[in-house]
Amino acid sequence: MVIKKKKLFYDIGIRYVWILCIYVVMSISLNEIVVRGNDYIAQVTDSMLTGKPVVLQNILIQMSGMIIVGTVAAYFADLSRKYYSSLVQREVRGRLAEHLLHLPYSYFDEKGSGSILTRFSSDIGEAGNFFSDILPDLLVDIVTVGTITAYFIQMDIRLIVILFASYPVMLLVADRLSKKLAVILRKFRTTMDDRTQIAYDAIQGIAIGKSYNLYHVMCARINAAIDKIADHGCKSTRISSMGWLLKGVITTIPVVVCYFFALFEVISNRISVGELLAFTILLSRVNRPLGNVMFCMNDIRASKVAMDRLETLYQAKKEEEAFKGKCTRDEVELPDAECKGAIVWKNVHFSYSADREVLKGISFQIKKGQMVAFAGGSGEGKSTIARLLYGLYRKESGSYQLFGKDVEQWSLREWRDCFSVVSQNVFLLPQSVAENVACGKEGAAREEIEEACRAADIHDFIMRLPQGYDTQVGERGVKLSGGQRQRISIARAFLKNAPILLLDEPTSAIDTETEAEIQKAITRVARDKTVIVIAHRLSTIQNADCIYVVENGAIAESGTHRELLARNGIYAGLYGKEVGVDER
Amino acid sequence: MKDKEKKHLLRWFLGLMEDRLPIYLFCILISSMGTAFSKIANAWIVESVVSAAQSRNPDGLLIRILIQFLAFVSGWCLWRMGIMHYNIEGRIGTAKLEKRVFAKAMRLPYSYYEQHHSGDFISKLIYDTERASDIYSSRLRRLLAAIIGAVVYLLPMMYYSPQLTLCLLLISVVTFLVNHYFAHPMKQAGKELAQNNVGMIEAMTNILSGVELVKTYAVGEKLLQSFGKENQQYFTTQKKVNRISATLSGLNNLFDLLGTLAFLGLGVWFVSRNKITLGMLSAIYTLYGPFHYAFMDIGRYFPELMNCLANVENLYDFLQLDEEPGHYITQSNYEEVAAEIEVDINNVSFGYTEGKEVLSDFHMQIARGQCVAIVGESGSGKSTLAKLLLGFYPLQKGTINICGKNGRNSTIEEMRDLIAYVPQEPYLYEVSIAENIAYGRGKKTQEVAREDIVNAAKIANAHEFIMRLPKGYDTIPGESGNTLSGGERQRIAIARAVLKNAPILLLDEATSALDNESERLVNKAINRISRNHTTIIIAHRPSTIAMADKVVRL
Repeated sequence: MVIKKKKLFYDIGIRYVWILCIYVVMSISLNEIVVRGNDYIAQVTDSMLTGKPVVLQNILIQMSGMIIVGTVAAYFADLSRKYYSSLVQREVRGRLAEHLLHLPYSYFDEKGSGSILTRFSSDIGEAGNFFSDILPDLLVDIVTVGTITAYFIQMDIRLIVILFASYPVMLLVADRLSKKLAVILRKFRTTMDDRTQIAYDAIQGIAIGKSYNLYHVMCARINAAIDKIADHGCKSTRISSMGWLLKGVITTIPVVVCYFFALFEVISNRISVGELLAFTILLSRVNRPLGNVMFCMNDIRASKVAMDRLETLYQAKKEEEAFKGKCTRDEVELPDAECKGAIVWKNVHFSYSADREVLKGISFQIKKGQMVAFAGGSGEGKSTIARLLYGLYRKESGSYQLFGKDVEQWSLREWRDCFSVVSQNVFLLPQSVAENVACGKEGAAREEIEEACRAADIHDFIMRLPQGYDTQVGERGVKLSGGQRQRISIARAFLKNAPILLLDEPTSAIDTETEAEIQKAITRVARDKTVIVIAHRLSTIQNADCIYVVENGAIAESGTHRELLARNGIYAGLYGKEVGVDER
Repeated sequence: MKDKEKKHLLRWFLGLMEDRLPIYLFCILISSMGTAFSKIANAWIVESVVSAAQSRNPDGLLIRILIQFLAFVSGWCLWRMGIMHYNIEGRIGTAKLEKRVFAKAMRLPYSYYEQHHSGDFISKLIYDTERASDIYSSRLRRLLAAIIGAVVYLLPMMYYSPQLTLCLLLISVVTFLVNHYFAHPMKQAGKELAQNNVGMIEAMTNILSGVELVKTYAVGEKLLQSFGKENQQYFTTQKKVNRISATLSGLNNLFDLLGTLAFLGLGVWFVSRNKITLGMLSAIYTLYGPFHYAFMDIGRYFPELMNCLANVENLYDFLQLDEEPGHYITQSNYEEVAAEIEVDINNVSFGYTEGKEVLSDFHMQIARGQCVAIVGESGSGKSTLAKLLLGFYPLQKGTINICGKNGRNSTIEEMRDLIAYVPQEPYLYEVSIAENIAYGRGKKTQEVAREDIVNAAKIANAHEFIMRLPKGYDTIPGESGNTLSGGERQRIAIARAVLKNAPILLLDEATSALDNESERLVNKAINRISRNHTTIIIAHRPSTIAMADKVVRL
């Protein structure tokens, strides 16, 4: 058995269980009042029938006390169960969000945003239902059944036998139905993920959607998912309706039998008519909770589907669990790291999916302070090298040493702190320009931010914006052009000022003149740093200390620009084409 | 005035069910009557038993109770059948609603997507519709059932004793009036909850789409904090809702016990005056229980309905948003252009914010078959020009004529059909590569011959690498196309444009993310296509610019 982490809902549910206890206490008080009130009514009715005078005043006094206590109890009972649920929901959302940040990058490749967003909205709501309604109701029903049963026992133990006789059958039926229901509900929720995912997809690709007039195609896509949801929903309705139908009939039979029995008792003069009246009232009160206790399985299984989905998300392994190293930068940046090199790869293999190996044994060595480039065609594995370098994915085999230590020994956080990354996919937060640049360094001063922006040749542009550095960039930076976004991300990397600068096709969306400026800036910033450039433009890497040419997941050639040209191999071929194209 | 608006909102919402509404309402009626009927049958049984106990004469009781029990079962069945069918109708209604919301989201003007976070719409689709459809699935039924129930119980109660019943009714009306008072704050709170949910979904979307950034920069804490803030906000509002509903619950309990007391007092009084028998009193009591509950339910479910109606209002507002018009209505004079001029941009001015024009009095004419490169610094308006050609924004001044079609004689969709667009950042949908390419024709894969798709991919130099993928054309690019490199994605986007085969090919820095080799191949492809197409290339690479017949600097 795999040792599981503490269950999310169990853990949180227990943590706030005291509130639930308040609820139960309040509910019991409320029930107690109900029982007593009815007892009282029975007495009054009895005495009335036997011709004794009834003083309404006394009744009023007795009852008003009960009413006050009852009202207060009802208020706190309702408040506590809902408060309990709200607390659990908040905690679950908070913990899940925190957990998400620590999930490995690959997790997000497999699970779309749609499934996670649905979980955070719809499934949490469903789980909240369990904590605000189903669980407290069940507890109270059990308590109600308990108290009223105790009252019955005082009357006649045989009543209980009759009342409970048919329940084993009921349990069996409820169990069967609820299992079936859970299967369908799981499908129901999975299709909801699909729906959200399609909607998200369509919204993200709206520019394409509009320019290709994909309105009908997109609607057809989502409609199929929505119809499926409705379909599963209808099926689940049919099943749960069946449950209700059976529940109604099965719970009523013993009640009727009980009536007969009580009637028989009255006729035999063993209980009074007043007691019978109280009994019928109590019976009608116990009947519903008793049925609920039996059939709560339906509801529990239904919300368990939602909770399980959240639980799975929470149980997904954090990337820290795979990288357990503790090593920090202070420990490794010793003089001997210089000679060992900043980064050493030996025979590294990697694949995204089992049937397509992307890196097939890559080895190289990058010394501190060097500028190294990876070149080659698109889809040959360059970007994958970058992603492995800063620990977005894990290598499958081979060794990777960072500043003389195996990466397995590094603390993941510290490892990534060694890199300033400019990624191929520029992502800007929907916040101000300044905040986006400040991501590079916690608590960065405005001067530092501006300096980084000057270095990235974006300062002048930002100053021309209506609100300068406080301009909001919008979601995914849609309000800026590709080149502007790229330069902001470069400024971000400059500000981070990590020992290794990793640039993954950093200037692809930038025009030639700006590119030259940025090249200069990189050279300036990179003076005392190790620089790794993933490039498809060979013109930008001619000054590199070493160029590795990647082809088909392996390093085909390496050397300086001159050496590689002299060799007249792949690089020379690529370069020839580029020069040819550019100079035409 | 306000009540009128609310009613209008509910009517509008129910109207969305269209032709299924009568069935839906009928099912509610049936189920409500069924439940009331079964409870009445239950009361009969009790009455029979108690009377028999009083008279100590059980003759014929068995048969009477058997009939009554059957009545109970049929009432119960009626109830459940009604509920089942109305639930199914509710599901269908929900599906219709979701489709409507989505369709709307696809038809909004482009500027909407730039100004609104995608989380805003996602929250509408999954949160607001879910809560609003609660009205279909339970809220409305509960309220109506309570109303119908109250009436149904009232009648036999009247039959047993009109005076007592009227007295009891009076008490119930008071409880309802008090409950009604809570409707407005509940609706307000529902609105707030929806707003907070938007904030939460947005914060979550930021985390999800910024995963890579989270891993490489220390922004995780910050993003988590902003999510935590939204989470806390949501919690605070929830607490507010909880307090309101707890107060309601406390009050209703007060009324429940008060009702019992009133019943007892009145009952004792009536019995002592010999106006009714004890059997009748107990029968009324069994009826009064559900009647009183029904009445309290009206009070309780009315605020709840209001709470959900807040979400309906959100959806209503969303569905009332201005859609992208079929035409952009312009006052401009369209001048006749020569037939060989395929693209005529005349005197166009445009700016995103007032007073800051990105393009001013811009002129450009492109003849058929010409290849034009548009160059300029980043931010000089190159991409804006592309978006104007695609009709993403209305022109503020001037006219655009494409193949003789313009804002006056053609719809925006027709104009878009003339342009095959490859954006700066190629977006691939999460469908198979084949389908992604097939979208070039605005169709699904099944509707486009595989041959055509493969041909387009070959022209875009994508075929080879696609075939190297384990699943070939059926590969689904991971979210944000992660398993494909930038160049590969770009080539699929180009294949899509090739398949569209529109007279104009519009490439927005389409080769920027390509390596030399694929750029050469793509440029070759563009060259090939541009021979019989008019091509507009937004470019900054000398290699791309070199292909153009004409260079326009912005």
